[in-house]
Amino acid sequence: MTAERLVAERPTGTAPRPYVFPDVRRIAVPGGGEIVAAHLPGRPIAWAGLVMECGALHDPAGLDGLARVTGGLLDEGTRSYTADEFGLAVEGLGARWTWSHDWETQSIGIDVPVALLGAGVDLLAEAVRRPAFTDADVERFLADVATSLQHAWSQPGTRSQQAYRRALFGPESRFGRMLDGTPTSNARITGDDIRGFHAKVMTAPGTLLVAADLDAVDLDALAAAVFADAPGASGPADVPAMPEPPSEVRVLLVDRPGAVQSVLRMGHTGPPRSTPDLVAIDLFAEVLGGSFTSRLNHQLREVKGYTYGAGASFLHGRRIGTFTVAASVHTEVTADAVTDALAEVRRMREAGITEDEFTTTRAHVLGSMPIHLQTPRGIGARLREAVVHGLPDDHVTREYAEVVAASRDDANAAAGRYLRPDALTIVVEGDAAVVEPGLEAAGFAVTRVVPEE
Amino acid sequence: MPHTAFRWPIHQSVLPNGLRVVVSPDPSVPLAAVNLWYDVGARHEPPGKHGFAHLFEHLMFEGSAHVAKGEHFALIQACGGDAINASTNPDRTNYYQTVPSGQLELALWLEADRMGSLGLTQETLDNQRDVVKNERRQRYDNVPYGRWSEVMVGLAYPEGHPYAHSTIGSMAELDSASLADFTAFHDTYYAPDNAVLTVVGDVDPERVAELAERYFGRLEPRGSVPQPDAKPLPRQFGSPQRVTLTEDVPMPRIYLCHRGPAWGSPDAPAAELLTTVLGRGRGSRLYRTLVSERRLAQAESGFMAAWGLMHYPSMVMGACAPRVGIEPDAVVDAYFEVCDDAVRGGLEPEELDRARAMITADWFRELATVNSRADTLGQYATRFGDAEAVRNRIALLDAVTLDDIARVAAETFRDDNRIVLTYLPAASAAGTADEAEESAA
Repeated sequence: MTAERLVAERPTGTAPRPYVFPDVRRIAVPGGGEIVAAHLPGRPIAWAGLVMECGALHDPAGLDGLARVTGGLLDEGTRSYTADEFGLAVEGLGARWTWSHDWETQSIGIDVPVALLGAGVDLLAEAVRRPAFTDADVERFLADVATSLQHAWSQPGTRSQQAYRRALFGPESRFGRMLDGTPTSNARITGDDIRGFHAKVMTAPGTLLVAADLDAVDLDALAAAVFADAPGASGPADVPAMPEPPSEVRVLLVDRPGAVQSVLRMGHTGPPRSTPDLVAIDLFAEVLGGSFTSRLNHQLREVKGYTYGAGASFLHGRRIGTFTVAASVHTEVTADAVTDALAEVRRMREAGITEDEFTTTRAHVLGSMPIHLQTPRGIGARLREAVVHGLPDDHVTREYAEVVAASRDDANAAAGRYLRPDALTIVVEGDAAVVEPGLEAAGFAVTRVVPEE
Repeated sequence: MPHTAFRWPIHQSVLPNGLRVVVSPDPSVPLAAVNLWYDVGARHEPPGKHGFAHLFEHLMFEGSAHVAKGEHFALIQACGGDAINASTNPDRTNYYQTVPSGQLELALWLEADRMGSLGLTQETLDNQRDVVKNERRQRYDNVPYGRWSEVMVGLAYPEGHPYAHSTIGSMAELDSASLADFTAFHDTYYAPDNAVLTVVGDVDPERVAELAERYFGRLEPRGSVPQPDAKPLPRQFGSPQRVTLTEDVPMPRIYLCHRGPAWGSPDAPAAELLTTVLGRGRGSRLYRTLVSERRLAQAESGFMAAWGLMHYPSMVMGACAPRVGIEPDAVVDAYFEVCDDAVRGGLEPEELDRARAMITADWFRELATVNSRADTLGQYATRFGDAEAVRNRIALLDAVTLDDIARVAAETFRDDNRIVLTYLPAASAAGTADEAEESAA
């Protein structure tokens, strides 16, 4: 096959149409509760989810994991259904139970053929408002949680994540420990804790999100089902203590004897979702580590072959965020990979992105927005973002306009303000005996740590 | 009457050089998904060259006659595209991206350039070999139970069978690969008459056909592609196998395998329904029996699934882990009792209703995005030679009777058709049975 049979000239295309988020309706329900619904005409599948203020920050002291365990038990037996009956009822609709839990909130939802959305939301209401939490279900579920945590903590990356969070947020803050808690903290949880947690923070009305063909949906009926039996109140949890950020680079080493790869986590705290610099941050962060063509992936994978993939991202929470570089690298190149990644963070802070990087990244962010929002569940995730962070209904459309209006100077100013390469916390989980000498030879002060389990 | 799940038109044509072009317009999104299925996978790899199809897939991003290393990704992203990747499995290799519909031509140009040419150097080969070795470490060698699927296919297929080795391949054989291996691989398998081009989205079928002709039309056909030589397999393994691995894992875990029908074969719909009733979801028989009633196993999202290998008999794969204090053998015995019960007593109609509801709704979900819809059309066009076959999926499931399922259960769940692979912790110190598939990124 020869090149003459190919067309040499690269074709040029036309610019994408501006993205517009689906129409959103908001209905305040008398007596408490609100519906936020996106209209998706003609879609055969619908999604509905209830957002409640009952995330990990609501965990009582010593019981990290309680919020998550309580949310996970909602579909494991209710007043009218045994756990098996409930599973059969959900699956009999062709539905999928969806559940996401975070620091601030949980979202319990159902993804279901639109004609069956009413029946699906009835099941959602049954689970959230009338869970049984029988001792037998609790015991069985907690045993499964214990073994799944044991499994998770045997995987590379979990113990380093625990060490990383503790280093960033301190041992006293709930943020300084894992979202799901540790095997030890979960082992303390009892049925009474679970029943008490539900009664205290999961009986408030919450907000029902709907992403569906609204012409085929009776929103009033959904509201009646979900917002009955919701006499409680719940709001954001108390703000946990924030630590003083470190003033220098530190390397924490978590031993994993015999590991053929080292898991790297490098980063620091970052701004919350409410930052006015959100778009500017996301633009430089994408160039640094947000896609396959990012500088980090290019250098560590495509140039050096150290890893299957490297990336970096900001996560913006309601009160605070994080910036984290992540990669799994071959053991023998661990110190070189850390050095290269650190250099990329420093280069971004000091020199920012090029005009070409800015142009292509902005085009990518704009053009790919509709690619990521093709499913009801995907649309629902952006509704949830609006509710959790108090954003307007058309926040995605506005975000598109902000990206259009963004400048390279904004992105580079944000890189200078929000990257702190001289105060990075670096956690390495790998074969300590092999990687420690190399890290020290590269000039890093290395401290071995044993994460709490 | 065909089921209405696939509600879009399908336009098919074949270029004179054999490239099959499938177009399914959907003006409801401002996008075009461009997907290539090449009818080559790990099954074509001879002994000593395991892992080459997948490493080759990586090399397809390393440049071609008019495209620099890494530029495929860069140009697609810069035009506003995303959902870019490729994957290799035992049967096939697919390449895909979704772009704003006004950028369709760029995606076609990029795909044509790498179908027709390969810009390979020793440096890019060495780099991607290191990347793939790290992929293997990350997915197989550095994680507990990571090698289970590789071990299982070695037990489930006779030595030398096209499905008897993992797609990721071995470190030593990857080390032995030379530039010539990959230029030969491209020459042999990457040809218009060994591929299906699918475009889904806000596009005009006639325009797509014109563009396909413009960019792919002058590429030369291969005429014939060498196929792996595989002796027909009997319906059952022939004898039971039990293998125990003692490794650094946190707890015992068991993988169970039966030989089953190939994807697209007449018995595949019955096998899909059977395994969904028995092994998928909270309401499945295995969940209710092993977890709820007998308290032997830990909860799993799936205990059993029919894998979708297309060219030779596939596998019905299962996984479970004993609860603390339960012997692994007790779970294995209970698992097979559930299988045996299905053979002896059949299934209940309401169990079948649940399975049909789940599979039908999942079919709508699979078709919800243009990228997934394009890949599905590519699969049907490759397997059946006609993308219209996609419209039959639900009708074929609806036509399955309880008798069909009973027969498939009886043929599958036999003593001489079982493999049990047990992991035990090396010292006193969950994943699911997902199909093995490797990706470039």
